[in-house]
Amino acid sequence: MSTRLPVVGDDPVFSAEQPSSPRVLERAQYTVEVVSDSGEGAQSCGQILGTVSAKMGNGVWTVEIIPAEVQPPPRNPAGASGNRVRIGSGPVTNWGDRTDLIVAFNEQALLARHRLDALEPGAVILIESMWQDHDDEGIRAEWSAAMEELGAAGYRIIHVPAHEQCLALTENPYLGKNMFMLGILTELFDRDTALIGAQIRHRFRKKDESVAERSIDLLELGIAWARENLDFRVSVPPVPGDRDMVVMNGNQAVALGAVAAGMELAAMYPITPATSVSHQLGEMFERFGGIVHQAEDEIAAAGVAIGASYAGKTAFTITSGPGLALKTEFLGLAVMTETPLVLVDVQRGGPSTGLPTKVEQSDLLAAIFGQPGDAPHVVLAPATIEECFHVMVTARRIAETFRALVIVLSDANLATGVQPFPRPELDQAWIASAPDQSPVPEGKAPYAWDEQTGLSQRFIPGQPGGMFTVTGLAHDERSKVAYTSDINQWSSAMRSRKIAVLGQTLRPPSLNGDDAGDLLIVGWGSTKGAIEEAVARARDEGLSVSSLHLTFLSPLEPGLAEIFSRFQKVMTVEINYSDEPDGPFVTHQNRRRGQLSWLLRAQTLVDVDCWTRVLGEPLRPGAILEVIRSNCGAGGER
Amino acid sequence: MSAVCSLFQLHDESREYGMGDYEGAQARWCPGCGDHSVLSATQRLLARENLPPEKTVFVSGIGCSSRFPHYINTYGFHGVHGRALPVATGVKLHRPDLHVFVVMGDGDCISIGAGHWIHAIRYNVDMVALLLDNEIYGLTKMQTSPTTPQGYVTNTQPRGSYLPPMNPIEATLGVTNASFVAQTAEWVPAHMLATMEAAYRHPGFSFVRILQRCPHFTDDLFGELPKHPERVQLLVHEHGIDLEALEGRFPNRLAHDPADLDEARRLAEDASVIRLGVFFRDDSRPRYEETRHLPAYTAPEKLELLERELDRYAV
Amino acid sequence: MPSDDREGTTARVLTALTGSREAFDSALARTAEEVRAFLEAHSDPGTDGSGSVAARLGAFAGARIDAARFTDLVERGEPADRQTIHAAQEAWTGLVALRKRGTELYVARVPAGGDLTETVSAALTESGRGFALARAARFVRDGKGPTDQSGGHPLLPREWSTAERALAPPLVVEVDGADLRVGGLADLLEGGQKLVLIVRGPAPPAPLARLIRPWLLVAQTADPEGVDALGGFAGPAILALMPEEAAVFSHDPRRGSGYARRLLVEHVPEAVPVRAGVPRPTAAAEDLEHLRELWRLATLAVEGAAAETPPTAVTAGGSALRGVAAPGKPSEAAQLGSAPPESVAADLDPAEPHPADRLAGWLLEQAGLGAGGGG
Repeated sequence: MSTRLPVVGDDPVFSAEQPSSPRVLERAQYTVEVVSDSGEGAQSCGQILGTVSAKMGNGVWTVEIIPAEVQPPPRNPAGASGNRVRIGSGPVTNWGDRTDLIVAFNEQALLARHRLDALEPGAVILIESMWQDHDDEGIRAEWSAAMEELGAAGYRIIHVPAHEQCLALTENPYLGKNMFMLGILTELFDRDTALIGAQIRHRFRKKDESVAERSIDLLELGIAWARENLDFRVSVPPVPGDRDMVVMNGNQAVALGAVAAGMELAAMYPITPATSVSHQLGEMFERFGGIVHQAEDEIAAAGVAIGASYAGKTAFTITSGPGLALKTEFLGLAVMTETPLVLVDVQRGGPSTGLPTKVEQSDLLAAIFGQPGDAPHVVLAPATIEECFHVMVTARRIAETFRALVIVLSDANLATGVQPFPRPELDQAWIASAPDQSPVPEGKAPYAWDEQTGLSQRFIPGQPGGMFTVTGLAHDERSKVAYTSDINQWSSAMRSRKIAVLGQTLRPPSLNGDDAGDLLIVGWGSTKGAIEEAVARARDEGLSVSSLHLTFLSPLEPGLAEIFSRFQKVMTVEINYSDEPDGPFVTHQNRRRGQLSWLLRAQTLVDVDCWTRVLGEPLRPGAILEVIRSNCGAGGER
Repeated sequence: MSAVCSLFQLHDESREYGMGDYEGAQARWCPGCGDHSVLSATQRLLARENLPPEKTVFVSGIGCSSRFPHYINTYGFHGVHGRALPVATGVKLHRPDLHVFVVMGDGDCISIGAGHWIHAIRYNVDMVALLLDNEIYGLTKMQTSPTTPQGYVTNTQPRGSYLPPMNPIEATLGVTNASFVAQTAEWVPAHMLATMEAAYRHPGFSFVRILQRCPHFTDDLFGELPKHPERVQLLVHEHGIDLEALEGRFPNRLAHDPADLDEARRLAEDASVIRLGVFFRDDSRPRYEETRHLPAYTAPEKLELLERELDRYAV
Repeated sequence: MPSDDREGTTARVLTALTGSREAFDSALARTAEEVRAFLEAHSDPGTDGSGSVAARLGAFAGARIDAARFTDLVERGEPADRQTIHAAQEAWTGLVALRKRGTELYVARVPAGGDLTETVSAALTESGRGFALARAARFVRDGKGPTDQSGGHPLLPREWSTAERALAPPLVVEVDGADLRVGGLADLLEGGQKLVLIVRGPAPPAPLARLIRPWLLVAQTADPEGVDALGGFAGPAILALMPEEAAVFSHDPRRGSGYARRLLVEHVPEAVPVRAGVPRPTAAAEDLEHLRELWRLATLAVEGAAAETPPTAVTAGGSALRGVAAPGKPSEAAQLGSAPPESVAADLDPAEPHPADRLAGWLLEQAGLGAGGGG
């Protein structure tokens, strides 16, 4: 991704006078935000724009801007709710840096984005103007103050009388303004109105037909207003690909992936941002004979999944950080009993309740090492929404083959991001078959560990001759409680060995960029797109930087020490907290580091540095680029 | 019609099982422990109902009684403290064709597992839940349990248990969708077996509290009871339990229709006498695993369905 | 029954049979998937359609797991011989194909002048192919090698095991009244077998009366909604959707012991209508008389036991066919019994054989239809 996005404000087409026909800005990529108070529908507006753009063949990345409360106080910067939609001619792999155009339903939501440095200098602002002359003196004062604050930044501010316009069609414009705004965007980006209409109808399919019809009327009103009043259009021409594409968010992909894996039981307890996986499954799973069990708590959800897995096909449970903490004891049980289990952790900010709706990658070490006692297991991290789909197939298969716990680390960025990706070419071999119920040959033990691999064949209830009791106590290969000293050493070795065997089947990771150089950036999970975009820009600038992205975190992908040795400096880029190396009281030894860097240092004995941020938002490629610039050739902490 | 997993299991139906078929490892409970008699009654029940050992699963938590699955030759799941019920729920949800029994102690079920217990009652999944209540923590050597009588001296409450004990029958009867609630005592084996049989045959979550002697730590709680049948009142009814054989030994009998929930609650609340029998049963309460039961599909059918699903996301 | 909407009626009946259809269908699917599990575990990966190791691991593993090394280290299965794999594959294909036939599997039509019993038997043999396939596959799976049973040769209903009968595939049969000879069906009505006859054209008024047995749900109705009575009943059942003028009755074992409890008659025609086309008028008259006799006995008994309360059934108007499902394990249901209609049964002692039952038993014995023979 070598394009530095042209800045709209720089463009000479913008002048005070309205040209007779609007000027069209040709762009390779363009970023739009829609923000409102919670409940005013900016999210629907942004999502429809994103989905339709994807359907038209554009690359798209959509990110939700979510307040923590369902109904935060109105007209409050903390309550800004909406979407960022980054549209590209080719694939878009991350949310980008700053937005080129923002549609704001009030000036406070707009101010929130401005203060978060989310707006490109000179960005176009389409702002609902009703507040300017509001009856409430306080509101008028807030408006003026906001305009003064924004004025300094050199944005191009366009007033949109959305409320007033919508009154022609509805008594309550708060419930329809988003469709008017969508109309404006439809006209600005020349979106296919038939596709937009279909999306609107789909969204309101469970409501009275009149709701969709009124929405479409409002949409057309917005289109008409834009035609008459806006002097520019943006063209991001799609580059048609030759593959069938699907478009969805990461949680939808996890849900569909679970179905593709043939799993038939998901147990969960509502938790943000994991819950929408169960919304998706709840609507769909039963059509495949599957059950989404909403348990009484996080612990029970893990227990139900383990019970189901023990008696049949591998089941899975979905959670986020606090839930992961609660499930810990059961995870240990899954490891000890070698019961296959898949756990999806959609990470959010922590610790504790933390930032429930915001992205973080701070569960990595808890996922790998968080179970008291030695509990070797598998940890995978999808890096894209497409991988959120496919990881479920692999996770299920590994869980079953290795009788293992497999933790899948997604995050809020993947969960709520929407991106088109090649339609999966489904394969029957992905789908779990029914549990084996054939008789167990006499003399076979339930943990007949193969000394070389630590693997054993599990017995499933219903298999004649296989009766045994699994136990969370240390046990021998017949599952008898260990009463002698050597059994625990041996069985621990077997449980660890099988994970080592999986590690032995892994290929060394491939590099993005040259095989050697000044700087190697190592990432994991949802940051891949941003890191690779930043690396591409840096390489365009002539910097000697490469990147590497890990998806198998336990067991760790092989060959890392050797790869690292070819670079002057290695550093991770992550969304978790690390001390600045020069922070007060921070020494090289006591510095709190990014979680992956901690892991890599321990596993490779290489002095891996890190750059991390916990701003409650995905990393911006521009910010990573700055890090690369300042670390290339610098040698870092070495 | 019991749920069917596959046509493969429609054979070998003629096999008859005896007590010996259910014998597991040698039980390692203390001599005289009530667990022994519960184990033997359970094996008797399985033989009587001719349950194939491979189709039967005993799930337990942690505690003396939770060693139970090791000593019975069926499938067993000896899990973590307090959480047998979620595991059992998972087994039954995924495999309604299996016969599921849960064995819990008083600390296991009533204390650390209380949340799961309340919800399991409401789910009403078809399984037998046995609460082996010796009113003390035995395995960890005599700590107060939620059912330890007030004033009873233990290692954690040396001045005597501070609070009145929890009444598990009363609590269970208070939960929405409770469908079978009974109490029995391991020193009345005929009653215990009849209770377990009624529990097994009840379609739904059958909660049976078994009063149980712990000769090692609480011999004084139940130890004398076998000699004092007058302290026991049998609840008798044709829809509950009515054993002629017990008439002579337990003259104190009360006719109680298990359909009468209000009366059941009143009887449960009154602690002046130890009541054995079925307090309540309602075979028609909705069962979660039945409500959630769905038809099965083959892999090619699933692929077809999934293609259709993906169409909805197609660009 | 509206004769102009035959398809609609059949669809309606299939819906009423959803429970038993799904049970059989699901068992087919699960069996197929168990055979697939066997193939996955015992075939040489990649050579026989069970999917290569790389395919099984999925696209996420694609560039990251070395499939050859994975096969070498991990997927060291116990490959079975080619003949065994072939037999298992045949079973799998057969089961999947059977599933593909959907509801067609549960519908049969007796050609005009055809033999009802033969049609039913042939249709059940066809759907029962699932049992044969499963037997063959199980034989293979258990390491006993392929047999000549593999490939799912037809298995006649009389060859089904008790457990298979319990899961018997239900059947909807469209039949002309003229071909309504039900005697031969008695042998097929075992286990969980459900048969629904959709009768067209002139028909005898009480053809199913002769099938009444204590454990068998037998019902005649003109109302397609009446088929819902079959829902939730675990035992064998036969129901006929008859033309308007036929007798309407139901004999439902769930109502308790004794004909007085089980039998509800809503309508009995005065006589066999003398009309062109009603076949075998003598047999038809005998059936009708048999129904009258049973009903008279039941009514008598009720009057004897509770003289002050009139029998409810005659006024029940349609309720007779909406029995209350008795959930629970069969043994339990039998022990508790489903509550009989209040007014009929209030004073009856459930433990004692009902006087009407004793009488009816004696009568049936005399008529050569006694319980001693068929039970």
